[in-house]
Amino acid sequence: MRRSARTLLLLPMIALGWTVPAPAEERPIIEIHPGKEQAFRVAVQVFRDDLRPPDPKRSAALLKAVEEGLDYNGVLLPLAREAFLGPQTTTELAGSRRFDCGDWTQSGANALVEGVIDGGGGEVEVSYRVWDTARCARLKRGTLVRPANELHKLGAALSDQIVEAFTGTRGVADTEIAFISTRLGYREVFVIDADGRNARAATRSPSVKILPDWLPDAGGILYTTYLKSGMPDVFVTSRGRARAGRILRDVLDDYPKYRGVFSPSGDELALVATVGEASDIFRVSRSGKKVKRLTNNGAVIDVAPTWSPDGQQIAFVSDRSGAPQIYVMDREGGDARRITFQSNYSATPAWSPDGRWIAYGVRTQGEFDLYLTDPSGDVNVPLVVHRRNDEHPSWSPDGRKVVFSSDRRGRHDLYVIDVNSQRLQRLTSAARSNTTPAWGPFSDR
Amino acid sequence: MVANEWLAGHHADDQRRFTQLLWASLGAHVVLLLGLALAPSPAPPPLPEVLRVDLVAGLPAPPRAGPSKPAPAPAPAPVAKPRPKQVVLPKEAPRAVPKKRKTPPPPARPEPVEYEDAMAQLRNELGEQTPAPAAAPSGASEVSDEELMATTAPGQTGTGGSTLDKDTARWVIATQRHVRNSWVTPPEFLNRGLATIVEVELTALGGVVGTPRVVRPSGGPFFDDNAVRAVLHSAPLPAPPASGTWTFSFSED
Repeated sequence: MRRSARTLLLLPMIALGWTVPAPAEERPIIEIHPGKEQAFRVAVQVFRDDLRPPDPKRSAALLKAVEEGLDYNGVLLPLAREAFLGPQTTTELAGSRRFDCGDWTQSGANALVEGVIDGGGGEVEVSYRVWDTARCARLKRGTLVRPANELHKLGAALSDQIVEAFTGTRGVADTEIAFISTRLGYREVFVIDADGRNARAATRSPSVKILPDWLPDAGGILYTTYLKSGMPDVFVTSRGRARAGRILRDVLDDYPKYRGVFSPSGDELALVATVGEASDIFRVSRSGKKVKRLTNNGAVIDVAPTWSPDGQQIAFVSDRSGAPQIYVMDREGGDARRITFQSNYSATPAWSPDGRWIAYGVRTQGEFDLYLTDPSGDVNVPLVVHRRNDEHPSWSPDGRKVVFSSDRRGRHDLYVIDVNSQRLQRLTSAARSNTTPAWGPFSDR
Repeated sequence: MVANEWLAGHHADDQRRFTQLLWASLGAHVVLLLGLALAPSPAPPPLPEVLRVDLVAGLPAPPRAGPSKPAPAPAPAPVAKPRPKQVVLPKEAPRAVPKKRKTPPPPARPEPVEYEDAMAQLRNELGEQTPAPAAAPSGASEVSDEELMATTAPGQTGTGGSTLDKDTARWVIATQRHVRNSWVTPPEFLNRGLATIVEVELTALGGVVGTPRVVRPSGGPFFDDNAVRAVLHSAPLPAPPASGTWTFSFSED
């Protein structure tokens, strides 16, 4: 009887279409592959200027510097001001939340930068916030201080911070490049801002200087000069804690020292000197107390060392095969292996900061081009190919760009190429020769 | 107890008559219910076009450029397609039973469309390029999650073969295009083999609920952040076939 009653109760439910819900069907995975957009768009507000005395041009000049820095870095590009749906000017720095992110995403901005200018005592201080408009979250906040007459460098430094907020790697608009120029008559060490501004001499003496290289803390520049005796030796020009002048006086004192290159840690140098029949590479502690000979091949020339970013390997040029080619050895001088085979002349290797590439020069038909190879030598791709000479590559510290010298305009000038976009920019235009650039490290000056 | 007291106060004839009326009422109910249950249903609505999907074969990966890339492996022998599952149509809301029911012949059901043909047609409608055919993995009677993520083509579902209706396939392609347009990929994020899986909670209208969740990080935190940013920046998405959690895979190929 009870069973019959249950059946009777169920019948109307079945008739009216009641069913047990089916389990959810498996859903497709939506695969997304890269589109065309390769640069973030950033809306940079006009910063509120609280600095006294007031200067109506200050905010505009800083904004221009930030946008030029962003353009130079190439990772985030400034959003046109006509596209702004949010306020053009910072009124107050937002705290940890915003309420107008929708306006900015609809403007097409991936990022928003707001800031306030303040300072005093001849210095300008900028407090800034970088916002991710899609998440409506603050990515970065900070304060930058520069002398009042370095407003452009302040803007460049801020653009580098914005790039870091979005990619994890700081931009290089506020870095420097050392090079050798004859614009004062002698071959002097010069320094120029990474965007080509503000070239100035770092040495000034009546002797030839060659092959500049930075100290890892950006506090000085190592270079080679020829003494009165005619023997080359290694010097430092300093703006930081490093003592300026001749270094490694007691190391291989009776032999010509052609070049020094600091290891990434700054504790050691790879030193090129001629002790026997030809030049060899030595590893020397910064104090000069420890010296280890890494190559020793009789009349074979071994020069142009460049350290791997972890300091465990050194790439260099050797003619042990009969012609100059690039080789890689470990830090003890062992396991040397040739990695270039493209032509009968390869030179000036430069190891990238991320360790993935070695840029180098290849001479074909009497002119040098620039190529990239991986440290194993398995991959070899052109970087700069031109009918004139392109030489002496040096990586930016973010690994996105390479500076080199080229005589494509008749005299040697410095050029920067963006490795990914291949965008080329000339840095120097002085009437004299500008060669052998060395890109300086990040600096927190 | 109260009911027994109430029945005990009545005459025996009344009790008999009451019992008869009870049975009569019950019989009438049974007849009515049987009539409802056995009545033919009203004319079915037009059936959506159904796609047969063979999950064994994956959609092609875009060709990789560069001298170091290996040539694609030759296609293995074709694998027998699993029998497609029956499509379960959504239940209709209950309706009153019509007195006179005509049963028109059901509309001609279109032939099932092959997955690749349907996707090519959809891409054509959406103005996208049809990629070149790809090699199918062999012996993939059962596909693991990892293999699925690596080889599942856009629009495919489940493991071991399943079906995907055309509306879902259309939505998948539209969503791919929509999100891709918002995914900013600086070159430095590429050529590193990065891939991230993100779960997104969608409303029925395509709104994104909360922040997408990275369920399988790429190893590059800024790459992962950028995938989440792409979803949020592209909201609202095209209205999905159903609200709830959808899985997105961001990779360079």
